[in-house]
Amino acid sequence: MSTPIIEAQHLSKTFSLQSDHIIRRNLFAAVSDVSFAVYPGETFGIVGESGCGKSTIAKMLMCLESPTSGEILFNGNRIDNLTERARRPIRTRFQMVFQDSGTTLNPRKTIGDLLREPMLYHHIQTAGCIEGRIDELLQDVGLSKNVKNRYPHEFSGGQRQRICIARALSVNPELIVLDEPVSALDVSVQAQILNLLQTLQAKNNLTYIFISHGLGAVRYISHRIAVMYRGRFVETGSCASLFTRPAHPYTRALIDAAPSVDEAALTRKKLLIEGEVGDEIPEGACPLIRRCPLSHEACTRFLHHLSPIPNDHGHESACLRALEANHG
Amino acid sequence: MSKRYSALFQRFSKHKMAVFCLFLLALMIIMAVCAPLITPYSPTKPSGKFQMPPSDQHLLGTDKIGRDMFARILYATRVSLLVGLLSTLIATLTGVTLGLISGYFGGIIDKAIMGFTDMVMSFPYILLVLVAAAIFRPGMWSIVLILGFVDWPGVARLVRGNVLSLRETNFIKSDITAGMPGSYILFSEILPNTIAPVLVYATNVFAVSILDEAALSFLGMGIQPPTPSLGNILNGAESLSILTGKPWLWLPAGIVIFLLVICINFVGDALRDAFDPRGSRL
Repeated sequence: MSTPIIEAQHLSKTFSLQSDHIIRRNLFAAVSDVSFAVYPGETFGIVGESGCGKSTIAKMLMCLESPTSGEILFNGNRIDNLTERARRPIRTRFQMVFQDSGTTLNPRKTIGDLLREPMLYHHIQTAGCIEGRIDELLQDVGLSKNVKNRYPHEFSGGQRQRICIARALSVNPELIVLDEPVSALDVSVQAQILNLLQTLQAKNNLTYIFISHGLGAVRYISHRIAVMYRGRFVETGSCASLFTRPAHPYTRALIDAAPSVDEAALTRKKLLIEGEVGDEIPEGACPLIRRCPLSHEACTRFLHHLSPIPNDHGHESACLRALEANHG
Repeated sequence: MSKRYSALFQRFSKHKMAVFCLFLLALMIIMAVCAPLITPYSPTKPSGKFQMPPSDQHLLGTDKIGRDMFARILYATRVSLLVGLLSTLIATLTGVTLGLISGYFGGIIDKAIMGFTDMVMSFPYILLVLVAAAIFRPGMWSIVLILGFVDWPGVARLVRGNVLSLRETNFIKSDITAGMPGSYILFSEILPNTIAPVLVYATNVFAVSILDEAALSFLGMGIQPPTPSLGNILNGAESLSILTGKPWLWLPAGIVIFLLVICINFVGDALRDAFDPRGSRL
């Protein structure tokens, strides 16, 4: 297998809820011990409910936050321990698209300026051919080239997200982290953006990390998916195996909770979880223990790490009763 | 950019009072600047009898040594506006610079600058000005420097707060991820988005500076005679007989101060609303 384009090794991030700068008390683990590798050309989906740490992972990958422990490797080289100055030249190779397109574009700049500045700074285009490149970028994301002199607030959410995508593309990245890129959009617009992302991926040889709380969007666009719960990956696997053979009660519950009009899905027995995400859990126990209908005594003592499912290549689950999860 | 400015102007012109005040302010500024063209009299040399009431020759009468009051008011407005403008400029530039540095770099630099800011803010304001005016030779430049020094902390805090909140916005984050350098983020992204509130605050500082200059000069610590300023003209009204019997010696200067301050404040209010497209206050 080729080398991963980006790799996270035992990534953790804890936030101090009481900030007194000297002693870090009341720690909150947003991300605990997350490891994964993403290979060139694929789309890696991360799905989980609000507050599970998806966006924290995105910010750490983009070096907007530094991990409390763990390493991030980009094309085999560590990037999390570089100074910002040293990192700046390679920043162009991984870009990010944020959830809220309304605040991602400086309201005082025209679309042309927004696209022009990074290219000029990084000498990606010479002054002579830059206008042509901007037109091309706008065309690629499905906007007409006469929007260059307009301001962000004159566009709809979907159009602004297209502009954000164009801006991310302008510096010719290899990897784009998409943090909930369609969550704030209408369903019809979501589909357009997802299709656009797929077209652009094929055209520009891009690798995506697609983060969402919407199962539908992740399923549609991802090759491989990781399911997150309370800062941990609870299940990873290919899109097909994860959706047809979920091996973690949480994944199963997510799939079952999604409304469906499919006859088979309606008649199938649903696995539902109860309670709230915030429930206290005992030290060292499975994070889902309070909500899981399958939990038994062993789950309190044993924090299970991702381990392979027999006879299912690349499919890993953090559940002790992984094989029962799909039938339970 | 022109589309932005026309929208700004439209929202500003909704405030009829502010538009009127802007015209009045412009008129006063023009009259002050063009003082030598408007009046033939000198503000410092006697040109008539003592303490004459208003007449055809001396529109606002003459003062206790026979100087034309109208000329003195014109030149005094000139001095007051200049002091106000320069000290506002000093306060704003200092405040913006320190606020930007403090908010952007954070950490120990932030702590040091904000500590100093709090210290300056906690001085008893008028006492500081009086002591400083007494130590330095009183005059226009020392007044400008003193007022500039006491007015910057507000600006610095405002700018710092703005920088801190802007730093958390996605468009700054997207600039960082695009690999843009710190100087670009500071001067091309953060600064332009901070100008509007600073401009509004500066109008307030301008008005306060004019009042402070008047107060200082009234107390004799400000602009020194024979140079006229609105404050030291009022100084001549300390005696009861002038207050009750010769209003032309103090009323016009008081009215000019009042008009300047109220006009600047109205314009500032309208500017604040004009810069904020969401505020649809009627």
